[in-house]
Amino acid sequence: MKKLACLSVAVAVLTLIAGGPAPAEAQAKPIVWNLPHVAAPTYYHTINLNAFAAKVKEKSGGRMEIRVHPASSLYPQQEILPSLLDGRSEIGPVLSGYLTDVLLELGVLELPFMTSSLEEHRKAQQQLKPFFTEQLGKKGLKMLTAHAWPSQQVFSHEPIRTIADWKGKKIRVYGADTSNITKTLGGVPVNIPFGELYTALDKKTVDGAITSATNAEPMKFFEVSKVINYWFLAGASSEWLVVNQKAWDGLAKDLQQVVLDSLKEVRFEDKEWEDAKAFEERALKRFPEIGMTVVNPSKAEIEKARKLSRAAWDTWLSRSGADGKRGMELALKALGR
Amino acid sequence: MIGRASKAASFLGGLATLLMAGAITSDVLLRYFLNSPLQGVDEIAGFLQVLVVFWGCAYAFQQGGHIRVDLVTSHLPGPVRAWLRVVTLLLGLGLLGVVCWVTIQSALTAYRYQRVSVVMLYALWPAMLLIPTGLALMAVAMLATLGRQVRAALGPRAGRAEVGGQRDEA
Repeated sequence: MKKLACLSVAVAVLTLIAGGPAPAEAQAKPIVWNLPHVAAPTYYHTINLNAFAAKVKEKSGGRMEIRVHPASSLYPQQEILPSLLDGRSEIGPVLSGYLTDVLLELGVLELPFMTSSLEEHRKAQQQLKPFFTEQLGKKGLKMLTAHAWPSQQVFSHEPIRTIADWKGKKIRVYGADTSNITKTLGGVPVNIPFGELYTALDKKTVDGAITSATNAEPMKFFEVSKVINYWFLAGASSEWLVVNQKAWDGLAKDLQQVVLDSLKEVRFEDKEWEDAKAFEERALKRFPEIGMTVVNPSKAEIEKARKLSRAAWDTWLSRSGADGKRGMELALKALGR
Repeated sequence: MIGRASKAASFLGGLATLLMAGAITSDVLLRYFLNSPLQGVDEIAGFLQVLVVFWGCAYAFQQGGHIRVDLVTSHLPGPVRAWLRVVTLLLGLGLLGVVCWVTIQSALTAYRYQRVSVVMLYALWPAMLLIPTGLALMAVAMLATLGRQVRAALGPRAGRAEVGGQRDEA
């Protein structure tokens, strides 16, 4: 009897040390998915992703939580795709602009001058959705939505009005396509992560940078670069919200539905496109107010660049294989060319 | 043997520093005087920097070149310092083991996906492998020091103190 009492006391003490009996809510620990991104916390991608995450939490009654990590705070840009492929991140964006090796064929609409506006890019992207779903599926990724960053332009210290102005300029690039077009136009591409771009422009490590014009204010690029050159190298830059297939398969069916319903309820895809347009229009309006000069190269110069860019297309085709060739055919067909 | 390997690795790191300095200087001169910077210098310099840092780790350890804070430990008696050093070396080895494992996995992933650099399209895995190999060499040097440190800690009282990274310092 005495032994039993001692044992009971020991168990009670151990239980107290361990933090007491587990409450019901502790047993039902929520499923947490991490979602890394490069966009600033105030940028529309992050805002929309936060809205989606909040909806998932609400609709699942707290059983599932999606944690959005903006501004490369979880992974730097080049690590986001490997983290999704490996399952280190369950959910996240695939940015076509950053494609350099894996899934290169997805970047067909990112090719220089393939599209010239957000509307044209969206139209083509919608028609290529089955192709994107198939290619992502081959790598174990499930596509949830397809949207974009606004048109890709060139920030610089000095105006870049002509093809001749590109010569010898060190330009920040972020993937194979932007690297190829910069080389083709006579510049020298330098790969600088998005999170380090402000410092690179400030220290004049580079003479310019290709990125979305809409980043001028959220990333404070206007403080360190006074010229924005509208070459319309790409009408937009595709982004796909994907889930690691294994993570998806491991999710209960009702929670899978919650994820899909939440995207619909917050109108994620439509909202992304609407915001892209709004951000683009707002940026154009704001440039003079924030002390930036907008340079619009002449049509003749843009046409010259368009012709030169075919070399970049050839490089891409030679690297992206049969799938790339098929993607190119589908894209040209979708664009009516 | 470990000393020679560390020295050879750090010598290569030194050569890499020279190469880096040469490439960057050429790039700067060509950029400012001829408006014709070199393609890919930033990428190559990045790869060489990995060699400089990680392949120099073992030699730096042996030379006592890594940062150590001995504000408190320098006031402790020799035998206590000897055992503290055993503990810190064990912790260091554990940490290096984890970092080596993770970086090997990253290099293997880069190899599996045939990842390349953005501008020059160089394969990334060889540069990534420089990290775990350099750290593994440092771990071997630490292990050798740990063996000597344990012997010193268990040895005659007069010799119970911290040992250096190299045998001749012990």
